[in-house]
Amino acid sequence: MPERFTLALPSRGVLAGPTLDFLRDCGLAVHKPNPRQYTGSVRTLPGIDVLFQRVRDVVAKVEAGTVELGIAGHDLVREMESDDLLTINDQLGYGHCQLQLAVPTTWVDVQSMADLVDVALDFRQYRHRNLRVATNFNHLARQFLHAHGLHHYSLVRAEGAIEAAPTLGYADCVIDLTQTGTTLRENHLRPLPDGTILNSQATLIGNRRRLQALGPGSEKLLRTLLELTDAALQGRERYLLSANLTGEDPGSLAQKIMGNPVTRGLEGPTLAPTWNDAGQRGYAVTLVISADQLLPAVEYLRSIGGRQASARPLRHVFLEESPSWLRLQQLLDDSPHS
Amino acid sequence: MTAQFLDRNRPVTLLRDHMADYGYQLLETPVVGDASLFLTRAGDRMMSRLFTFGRGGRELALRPEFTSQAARHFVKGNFSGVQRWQFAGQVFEESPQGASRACQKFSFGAELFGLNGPAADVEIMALALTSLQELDVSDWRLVVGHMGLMRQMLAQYALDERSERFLINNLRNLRQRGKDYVLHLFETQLAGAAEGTSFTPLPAGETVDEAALARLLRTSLQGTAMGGRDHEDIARRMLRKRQRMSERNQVVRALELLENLCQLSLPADVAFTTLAELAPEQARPILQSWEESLALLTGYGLAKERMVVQPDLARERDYYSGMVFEIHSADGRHLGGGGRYDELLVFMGAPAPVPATGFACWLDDLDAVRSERPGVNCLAILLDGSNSFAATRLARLLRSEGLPAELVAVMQADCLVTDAEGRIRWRDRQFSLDKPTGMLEALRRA
Repeated sequence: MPERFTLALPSRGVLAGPTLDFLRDCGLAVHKPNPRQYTGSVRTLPGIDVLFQRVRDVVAKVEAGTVELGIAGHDLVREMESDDLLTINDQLGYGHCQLQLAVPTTWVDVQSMADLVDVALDFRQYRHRNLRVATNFNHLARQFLHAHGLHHYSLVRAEGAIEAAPTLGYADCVIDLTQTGTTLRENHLRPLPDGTILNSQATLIGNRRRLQALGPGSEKLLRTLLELTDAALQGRERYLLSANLTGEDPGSLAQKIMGNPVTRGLEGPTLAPTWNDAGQRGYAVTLVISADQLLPAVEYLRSIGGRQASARPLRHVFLEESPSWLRLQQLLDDSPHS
Repeated sequence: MTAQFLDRNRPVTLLRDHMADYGYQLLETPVVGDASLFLTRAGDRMMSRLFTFGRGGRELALRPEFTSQAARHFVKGNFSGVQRWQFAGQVFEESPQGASRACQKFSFGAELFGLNGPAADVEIMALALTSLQELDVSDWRLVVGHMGLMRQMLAQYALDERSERFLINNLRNLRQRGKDYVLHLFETQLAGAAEGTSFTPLPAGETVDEAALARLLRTSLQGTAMGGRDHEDIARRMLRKRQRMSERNQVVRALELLENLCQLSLPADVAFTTLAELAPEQARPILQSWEESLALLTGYGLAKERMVVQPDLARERDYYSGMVFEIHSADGRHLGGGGRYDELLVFMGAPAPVPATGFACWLDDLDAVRSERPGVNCLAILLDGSNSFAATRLARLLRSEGLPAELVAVMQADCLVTDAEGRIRWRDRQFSLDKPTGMLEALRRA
């Protein structure tokens, strides 16, 4: 059995570039010998073949089991839901967007989904037709509309410029992805406050049957991949903070540092004795701090005798176990076919 | 579903002949159709579980029921006058266990188009119940409600059509969560000005005429996207929504009436006296014709003791327009149901409502309560290695005489045993293959 597997990545669109950046940050830089080719490799993990596909095809190929792994938007994964399509990590931390229902800004009488249900009945009553919703997310749209009691609608499929459909007159409202809302505004559309269908970001997916069938070599390879992506995600928001503190007693310093949640770090401080020119005893403390706590941590260290501090961003933080690996084991264990 | 041994031909033939006796002609419909057709008949739980898939850019679905297809066939085929159609076949919906799986059920039923009044209602109910009796389901309960009565009861409060629809669609909430909850829903979802909007062209307390408001909207609203609405649509709805708030007291009174109705579940012989006390004068004709219908049902040999009147059964305002009914087994199992749905045909393209009633039952649900258990009863003939020729001859003889027979390898009760010479032993009696008359008689008697 060849100990390899294939990872499918988006070839173009908003996820393409950020995905390559993300993998590079994980230490998994993708090498693409020829920009016109659809394949690539990861030099640090030679057993992984990379296949570039349109993002919908990434999900379709993973779902069908043509490839083992893929990265795509959570929105598409939910839209194309299937028993063999596993979500290994739905928070890769980039490619954020929302699937939203938006109506023309001219519809000043529509402020909520309840209003839209009423408008749908107006369409039936006065125009003898259904409310037309333009979307590429038929499955999610249908679920969402029914859950809000909106049963009288027709879905209009519009490749490309969905936002233009209400202006062009072939749909009444839209369900589409937005990142900043600019495109909606430019097309005179307004999202409804209770019209958010889901929040999405880049997601690592896998095919159940293919992953269950991996040999020991490729399983190890997969585990390395998940360890590296998890560690990079853990490291992304953290700093390694070093500071010199004056003080005689390491025990009481440690107590003070542990006593404050801001400087507690992952597992408490590392203390190392230092001597300066003046012959003063002191300690160097090393901590892992979350990015938003950096300044409060420095302030606190100063208050307990800190003199100078340095911080640098972390690239990898390895926890006791890779959370994605654990999750995957769980997913593979509870098979829907059993 | 998984494969199973099930003989659908016998019950289906029985049903087809039975409904043909009432003049119902068999309508075959495609299993796959446009999803939008099935969604036209929406509003109930099943529609959200339609089994859909895309192909060639079209959104398709496996049929979840027959009524939509029949109604469209009536409209598109330019039928007129009275049409009686029956149907039987598999229907599908998405399984709760996953979008990739379908639940499959065998449904049968009938639609009656072009005939109005109690006669048609009674015919459909009677057809449904006698069909069940044909299948040896004798212990049934008929539960009836009436959407027309419900609407007439609410008419006294002069509610906006949308408020009335809201109340009827929330009968289940009223029963389970109470009056205050439904009133709260009304206030937040249906009534009030367009709260929260930065655009407030409605001066408080003043009456604004729809055309003037539309003109105002036209000149002041920025944006070119209108969807399929125009400024008049928006103006009309803004005014109507504000007016609805003034109906609040009427809604409270309507809710009190509905709360009383929701608690009722009455035997058919006393129901109408009770309802007459609750119903306003204008509802009398409906009550009277409804009472007549149930009396007419007894003319079909159906016992009145098995009928229950339950007004809040009428809770799908988008779909039903007149009487509605459900059929239950003695232990409360839902076996089928139906009702009058005149307005559906407008959404299938008819210029005006067409009288339409129908029913549907699910054979799978009936199997559990049928007294007759389907299966094949076969005579067993022992095959012991030395008698193959005689045993085969015997089996052929029995089959040609209309007696099902199978060859078995192990001795079992009531087994026919033959030796190579054609001597036959059955239940301590001896026969001969060459003179079978006595044996055939004995087997037939058994």
